[in-house]
Amino acid sequence: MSDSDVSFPAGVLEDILSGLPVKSLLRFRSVSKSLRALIDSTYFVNLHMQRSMKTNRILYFSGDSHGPITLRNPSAVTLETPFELTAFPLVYGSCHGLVCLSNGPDDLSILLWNPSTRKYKPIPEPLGDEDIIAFDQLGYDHASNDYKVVRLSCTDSTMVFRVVVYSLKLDAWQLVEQDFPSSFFPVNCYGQGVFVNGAVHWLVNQIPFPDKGNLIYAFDLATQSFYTVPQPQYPNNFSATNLGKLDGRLCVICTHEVSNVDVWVMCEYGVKESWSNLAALSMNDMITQAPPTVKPLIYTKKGRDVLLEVHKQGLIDYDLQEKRTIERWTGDASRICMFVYQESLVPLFRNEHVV
Amino acid sequence: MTSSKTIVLRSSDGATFEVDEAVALHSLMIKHRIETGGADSTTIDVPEVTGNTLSKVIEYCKKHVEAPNSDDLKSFDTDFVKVDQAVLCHLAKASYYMNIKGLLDLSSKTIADMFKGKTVEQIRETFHIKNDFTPEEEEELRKENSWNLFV
Repeated sequence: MSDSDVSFPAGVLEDILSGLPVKSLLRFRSVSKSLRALIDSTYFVNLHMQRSMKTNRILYFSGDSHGPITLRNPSAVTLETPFELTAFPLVYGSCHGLVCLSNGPDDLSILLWNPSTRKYKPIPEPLGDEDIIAFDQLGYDHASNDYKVVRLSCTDSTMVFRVVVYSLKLDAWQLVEQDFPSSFFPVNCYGQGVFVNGAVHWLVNQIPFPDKGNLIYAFDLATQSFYTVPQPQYPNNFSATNLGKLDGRLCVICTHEVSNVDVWVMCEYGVKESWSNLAALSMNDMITQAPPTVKPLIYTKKGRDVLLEVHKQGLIDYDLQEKRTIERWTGDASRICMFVYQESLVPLFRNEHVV
Repeated sequence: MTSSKTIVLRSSDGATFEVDEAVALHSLMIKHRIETGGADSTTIDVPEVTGNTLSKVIEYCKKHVEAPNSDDLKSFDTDFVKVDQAVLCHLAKASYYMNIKGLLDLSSKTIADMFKGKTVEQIRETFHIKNDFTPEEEEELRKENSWNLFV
């Protein structure tokens, strides 16, 4: 070999490519057949995803129409959707670069979207009885290497819930028989779940409420069974209103004294003692709905600060050491929807690129 | 009495380099060779790497072994990869064969940053990759990627 020979061993090429943004990789599929085969391979998609999971990005929709960016914060970006949005979208989870969303609260039809590759796939409605209420959440089942949408729904006014699960691999819904320990109703914001640690979590009020208090129910995607997660030991006048997720950890958002919002994070999954108070916010000067709520998004400044979305209003930058709000941004639009996603090449279709 | 043992590394083109054993051990491949080679292994062949590249690799290892906590390590690394493309590629390959993670990460990242800005044609030229798509296939790829405007 000589100094002019620049062919790479596969290990080196993968190392280089797996650090590139999706946009570049999609371009480089045109370089040669072997490079295309490498980039499209399941092995490489996973390799690239493991690396890009470490970088969280914020995506948001703003306005009553899908209008221009009005929020001035460098961490958040808006992307044009390749599909038409007829209403303000609701996001039902973001996982490994895939996002699940629907066209507004009245539209029960949902779709999966990869913002990095721009591919999207409408999800067929489940057959059978019409759902009158549905709470959806996207998650990943590691046991079957499949992306699933879990829907907690009820078909009539008895408010008895059932679980149906959509599998991307099978492109079909499946009813999962469940024996719930008691009657309940999901509480958190629009009843959406939070996918953490392989399970979708909901904050539920047990019926009759408030006698029986609320619980965190978790549905494990691999075992398809429910279990409960212990809540933090908070003071009596605290009332849990929402769940959230921060850097892969489950959060509980609670209110007290009308306009105070506290965010707790479970540092070690399943360990009650590991719940820790992350932020204590006073929402007096921010117009929110009642009860006021926030959604933790990402850590910034190397973990010193945390960014939180104030429901539909804007962003708060909170200093974790000084335990205070540093800055707030509000959008000009009447509505904002923000969520965290990562870049990935994860395909939505088998043989996604085959023409 | 402690003597600092030296090792001789021999490149593909016969160039030899005498280095402190501690420096040589920064390469896990060499570490393995020494540990399994017995007491006589004072000369180690590195046939995957030429003399020019090996001398640079040794320079990297020396700095990282002898002064791992120095304040200028970061700027050393930054300057170390300010070399032309071909040298960078050779460094990446050498660090892969010689199992020197720090250098592999450093050179891979630098090459990745170079890749980002390149067009498809430039990638082919730089890395001597043949375009084996038919014109029809290329047209389909172009259509698929029409939103990804940077050609």
